[in-house]
Amino acid sequence: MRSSGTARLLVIDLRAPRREGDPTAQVAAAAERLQASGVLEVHGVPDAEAVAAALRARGLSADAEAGTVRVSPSPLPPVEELTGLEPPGPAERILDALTRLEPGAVFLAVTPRYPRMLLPHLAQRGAQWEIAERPDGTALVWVSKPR
Amino acid sequence: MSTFNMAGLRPDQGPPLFVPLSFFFAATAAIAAAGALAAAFGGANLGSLWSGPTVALVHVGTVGLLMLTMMGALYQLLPVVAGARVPLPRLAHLTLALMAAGTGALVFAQATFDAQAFLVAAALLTAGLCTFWFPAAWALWRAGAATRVASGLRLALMGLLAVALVGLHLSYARGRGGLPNAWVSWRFAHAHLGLLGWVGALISAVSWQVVPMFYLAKEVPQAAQRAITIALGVTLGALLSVYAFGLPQLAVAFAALPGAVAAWLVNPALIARTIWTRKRRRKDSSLLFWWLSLGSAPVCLGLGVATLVTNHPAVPILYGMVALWGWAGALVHGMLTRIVPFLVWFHRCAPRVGLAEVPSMKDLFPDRAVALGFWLHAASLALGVAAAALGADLLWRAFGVALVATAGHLGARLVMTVVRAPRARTA
Repeated sequence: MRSSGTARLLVIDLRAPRREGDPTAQVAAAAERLQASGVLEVHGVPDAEAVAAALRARGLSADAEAGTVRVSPSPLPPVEELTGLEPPGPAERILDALTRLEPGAVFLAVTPRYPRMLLPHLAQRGAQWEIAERPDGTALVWVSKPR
Repeated sequence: MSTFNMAGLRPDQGPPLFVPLSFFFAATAAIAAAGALAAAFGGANLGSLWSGPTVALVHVGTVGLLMLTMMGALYQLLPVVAGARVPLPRLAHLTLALMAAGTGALVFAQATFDAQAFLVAAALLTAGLCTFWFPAAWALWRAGAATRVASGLRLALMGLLAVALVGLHLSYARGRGGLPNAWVSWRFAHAHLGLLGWVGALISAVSWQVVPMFYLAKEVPQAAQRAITIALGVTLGALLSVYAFGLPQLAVAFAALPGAVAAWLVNPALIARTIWTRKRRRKDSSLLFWWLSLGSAPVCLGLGVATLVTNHPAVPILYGMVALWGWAGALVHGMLTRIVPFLVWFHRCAPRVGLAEVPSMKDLFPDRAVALGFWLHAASLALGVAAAALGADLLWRAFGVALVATAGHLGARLVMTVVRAPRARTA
């Protein structure tokens, strides 16, 4: 499925505020805002597995876990769980991954909180990045190396 | 649907490394100075709350150690907590110089009752506080961050302004000669504005940020954070009213009560619970400092009540010892052992990650060194408590020596942390 949007990363909670309507359609509409390598994470999705299957049928990459659906127009990168690391572990892992990243590839990670102190270092390395807070206070970090 | 993206944040929000580090090194020097003074003064001079040397020693602790550490920490915390950088970071050099000189003048004035020195101290500290407070307050209020931590920091800055203004008024009054009728009550109001309105508010807000961050513990519930902030705010307002109207010491006690319960009972209990129930229980000797601080907090409350019910001269001395070196001092010491290597790592090591081998935080400040620092601190506190309780000259001098040893160890380790880190280079 081709994407016409520009967003690198979106995190949405369908519960705040709760809207009526088909969750698959809502998620698919949000996914249209993504750029080709963008990632959308949606929380509070009823019957997440079914929604993910429906999105895959529409040509999107999608996976589901415990009421959360992750979507991308491109193959979904694996998500590295860094919430169990004390600082500066998450930052170290992200910076290390960035040095090994192929141009155009995406690294996705969940950190314990919004990693403000990481930002100057991402900028210094010329990375493209986007960070979004999740409903539970953790943060989803999208990092890519420009082509 | 709602979104949580936070695009548009400026990457370069923090101060240069030298800004917080310079304050932390100065604060460590203040501990050594306090130790040297205690060892020199001895028990004959430190047995009374009203003696010049006692007041001087207290202010080395409050202005020298606590205020300088907290100023340095706020330069770093405000960008992280509120997304707001304190403008004109190089002004921090001037702030530190003025605060250090002002502290020295104040301590000299209090130790010798030199009227001129009080006025010099008041002028220097006024200038130093202005060069810090106005930029910090501008940054924090302009950011408009709505978190409880940011609210707590705003309250702490108001508390700092309050205790500083009262302190400057006291210094000026002392310099003019003679003691006003409300002097005793004023001093207690000033002390509790500092302990609760400034230090209590700051420690509470900082604990809500750093405990989850460094120890992967759960956050204190938002409702509790709100209640604690309100209680401390009530105390701040009430103490200022007591001061303004020159009300007696008992009024100070009632004014201090909500904040004291919040800062010395409720928040410590909540923080202790989050630390105890954290999932990832790795060995971390900096937690020993937290336990010492959290355990000292309710003792502070008890001793504060005791000052109202007994005239024993040792009680207020014990109160000050436990509050300054047990509760606040232990927390400050413990956090320096985490925050300094953390900052050094981010500034010096992070640019090299993936490109060269970099030391870990534990390499920069090993856990066994943190543990040794804790035991030195605990030993000095034990000596200080014994000295305050018994009044023995030898114990006071031993306390002083132990403080110098604690400061020497901490200072050396902080220097080694910086020396061990590679010079930063861009990728």
